[in-house]
Amino acid sequence: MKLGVLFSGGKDSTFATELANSGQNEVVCLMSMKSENKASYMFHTPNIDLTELQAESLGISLITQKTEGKKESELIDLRRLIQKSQKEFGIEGVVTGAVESVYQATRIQKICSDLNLWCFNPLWQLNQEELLNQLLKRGYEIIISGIAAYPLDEKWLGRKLTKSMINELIELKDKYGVNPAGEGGEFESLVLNGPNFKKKIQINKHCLEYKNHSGVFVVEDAELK
Amino acid sequence: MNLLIISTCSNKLSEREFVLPFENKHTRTNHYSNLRDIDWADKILITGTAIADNDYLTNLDKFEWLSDISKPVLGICSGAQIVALVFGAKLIKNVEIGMVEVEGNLFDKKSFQAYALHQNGISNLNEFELLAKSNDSIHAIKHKLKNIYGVIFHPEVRNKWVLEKFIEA
Repeated sequence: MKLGVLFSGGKDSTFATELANSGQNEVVCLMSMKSENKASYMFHTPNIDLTELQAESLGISLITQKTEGKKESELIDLRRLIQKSQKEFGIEGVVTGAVESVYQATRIQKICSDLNLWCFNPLWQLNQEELLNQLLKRGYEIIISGIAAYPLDEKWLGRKLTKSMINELIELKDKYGVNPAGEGGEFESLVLNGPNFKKKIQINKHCLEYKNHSGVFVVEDAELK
Repeated sequence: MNLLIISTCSNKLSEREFVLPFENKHTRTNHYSNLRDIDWADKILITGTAIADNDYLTNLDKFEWLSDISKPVLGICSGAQIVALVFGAKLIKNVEIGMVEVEGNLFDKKSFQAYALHQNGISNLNEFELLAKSNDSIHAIKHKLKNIYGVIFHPEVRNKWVLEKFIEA
């Protein structure tokens, strides 16, 4: 089955791409929403332009759609993106990296149902700690690219996901209720390398935007190495 | 307690979503097209599948064994549709996607929010009794004489107690 992945360049959609691209299925395109609303409920926003480099490294075509990111109009734009992929790449199904968010999953399921497309959520209900451990085990190189929850602060921005970071995140879960995989939008991630990457993303220049437990690791220049 | 999980997914990728959440060291998983462990099982779970997947409806002959089974069975979504059809109930077109309010009595729970993801619903209950429903759909049924249950909602999302109660019962 020809599939398109809703791809943000973060850990979940990148892992979902790997899982979807096997057996009876082929990922024929990555679909990225470029939201102008940094507080989007639906879409990951930090460094979304880097999906171009990631797609190149994965050897999969990228298709994008801009959205102002207003709560319901972004769903119209998402539908537009999926329809474009149906037309240009002949996708028969959509893959997402949704883990727990019924809000996200329901909206995408409804669009797929309307467009007669299959919908796959290969990380659905996966234990958050197990998800992070699997990513490390499979050799993903991931950094924290955005934060939006107390007690996360600017020291977290740009940090690489390691076993000790997973332990820290579990402690924060127990103490403050921070979801260890950032599923509640507590943090966003950026994948720099992974088992299906032909080349690694090297960040040449970055800056931090940070205020009051909310911030972004902004990649200003990057290349494939 | 040995739980046999029977997958109704025609695409392997869907099993990560509809089968994996139920698997543990006490379970074995068989696809309905290749059943090997019915004798091993104490109880049987028939899973749901992707909303676009209707292959199970064209393979109902693979579920004829249900007519004679004396072990407890819980069907989820497509699994519930299968048990309903095997015992003479009917399906109707009935799309419901998202969280819905369910009321009735399922394992002593009178009302709860449930995750619905289906395009077929159950009607004409025939050999079943109605246990719980939402505004738009029948959500839980039980065979009048056997320990065979069907739930149209997906208990793997926010309602894991359903499987726990089925296993305890």
